[in-house]
Amino acid sequence: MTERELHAIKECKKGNLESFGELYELYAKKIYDFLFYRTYQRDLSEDLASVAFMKALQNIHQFDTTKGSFSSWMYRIAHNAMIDHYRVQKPDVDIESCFEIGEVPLHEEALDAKEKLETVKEYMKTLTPEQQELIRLRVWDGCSYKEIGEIMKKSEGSCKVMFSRVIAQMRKDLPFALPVVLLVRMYTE
Amino acid sequence: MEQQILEIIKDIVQIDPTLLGREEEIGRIVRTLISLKPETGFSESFREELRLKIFKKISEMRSDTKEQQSNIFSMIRSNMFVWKNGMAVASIFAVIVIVGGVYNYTRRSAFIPVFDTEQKIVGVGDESFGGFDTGAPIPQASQKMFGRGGGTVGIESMPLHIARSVERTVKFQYVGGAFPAPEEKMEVLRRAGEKSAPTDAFSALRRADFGFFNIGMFQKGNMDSFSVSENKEFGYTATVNVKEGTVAINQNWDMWPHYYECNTESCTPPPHLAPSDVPADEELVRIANEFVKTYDLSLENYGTPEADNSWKKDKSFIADALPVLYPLSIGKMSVYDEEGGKIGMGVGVDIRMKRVSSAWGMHTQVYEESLYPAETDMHKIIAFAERGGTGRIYEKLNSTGEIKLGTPELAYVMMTSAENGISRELYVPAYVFPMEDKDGILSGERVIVPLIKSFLEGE
Repeated sequence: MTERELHAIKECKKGNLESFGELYELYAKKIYDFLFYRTYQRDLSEDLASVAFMKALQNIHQFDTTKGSFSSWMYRIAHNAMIDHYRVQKPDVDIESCFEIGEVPLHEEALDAKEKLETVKEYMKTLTPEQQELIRLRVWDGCSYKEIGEIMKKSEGSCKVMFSRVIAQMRKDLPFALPVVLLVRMYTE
Repeated sequence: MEQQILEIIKDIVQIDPTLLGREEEIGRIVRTLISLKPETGFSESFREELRLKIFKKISEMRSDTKEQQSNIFSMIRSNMFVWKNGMAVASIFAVIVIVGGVYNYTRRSAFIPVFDTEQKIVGVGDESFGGFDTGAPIPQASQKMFGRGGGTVGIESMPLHIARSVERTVKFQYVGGAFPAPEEKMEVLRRAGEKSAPTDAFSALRRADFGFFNIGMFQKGNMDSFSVSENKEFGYTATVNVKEGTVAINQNWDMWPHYYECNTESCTPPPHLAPSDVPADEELVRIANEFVKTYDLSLENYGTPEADNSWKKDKSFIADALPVLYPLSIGKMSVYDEEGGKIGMGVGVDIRMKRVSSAWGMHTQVYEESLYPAETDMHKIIAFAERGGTGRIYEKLNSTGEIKLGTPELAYVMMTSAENGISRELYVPAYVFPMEDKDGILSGERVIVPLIKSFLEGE
């Protein structure tokens, strides 16, 4: 956690809630991106980011700096906002484990993204939803293993091992998929 | 990006040494995964819109008394909504005038006094605030009643957390002079809620005629909290929690220019503040002092104001409002938070508008005092300090080195505990050690060692 984050949290707890603006500046794009990588819908990502920041603001006094980083707390709130949304929208889907790309219902604006991501799905189809989420957090969201551990409620070490295994598995199982994926990617852009 | 890839490869090879020599291949996989990352289309106008919503929410939260308000005031407020605007404003004005002594110029007039700004410390029996759980919260089954003597009723649990097992890469060394050993028993203070103020405030309110609703018929009425707003340019909203004895002032969002509102395509969001935009400390303090004078805020228990300079440590982002702190003292002792920062009344100065946008940390000064066994072993106190004290200071990434601790000051550290769902502020006597050459290594301000024995036991 950075000094700036700690200071802002401390100020919020003292009652200077305007300091939440600093935390917002740091995380606005990260949280929106996090949600987009999982929903592929701009409007929905914006709505859910709004929900997540409002919840964070209302509960910032409960955040304990000794129990984890602010980033993972914020990502968990965003994750829960997304789960709550899909629980209402699609109660028959097992949302808790719904980390698989394309599992969530896609709207028209996401079709292009979906097309491109079909390749990713193919590439990652041997992975469990949990492994896919691990890749998204580490590679797309740029989270550290410590943050990933806090978000996924696993130890930092086990996240490292899991990620290493996923990459090793990809290297072993899909040696020919890489150039194909890259070609498709280049062609569609 | 390349750094991220290298870090990922390094971690993978470290975990699985059989992949040594395959770095290029792993790099290709990682690069492919990165290349598949979709463009999210994050829009700056969304950032500004949400920012505006958040600040509106903050404003609402300050004035939202839904949970704390009494039924009486809720009824009045809901009735106000059905009245014409003029009536509502008139009613608000009536409340301001009637609840004298709470706010602004009415303090010195002949209205009913509700809050007293004088500091009072009332003794209660030894260990009346329960036991201090300094580790994990007490499990439900092992909770027990605490307290003895003629003090307040014991409470069931009081989770106060001290981060005990912090692994530190920075060393602390005490280099200060001799300082007195604590007394065998020392006083812990707890801020007392307001006992008579809600009734007093209600008795003032019941004189108001609300037409179709006779508030005077309410029996044993209490006014728990209320808010009042200024309907003028750059006006404020004051939220008064009568029960808790606190006042917070915030900008009345509707009456301030919406600097960040940018709803059209052609609109460019305003640039972020630069260090050169920040006025000198003296100017910030002057603006804060002017506000304090205008609104007649009592400085009876607060010291010389200080502009918060923490923004200088990270100039990449400067908040729109910077705080000026009027440090609180209880008796003659300073009050710190667990990171060693001073506590008191804060006044936020809006840098763009050169005006005060909020004030917080104002509360009545009635405390209950209860004696607890204190740690008298100086070796233990210094050893605790040399481990970083309460642990609420943080080392910056990859920091090493030795921090020298100077002679401590006897002060209070404010800790918050939850009692049956209600947050209570405790002021625990503590030695507060100044740190030398900490900048760039640590984030906390001072090392705190609470002197009550139970905090240090088990260390």
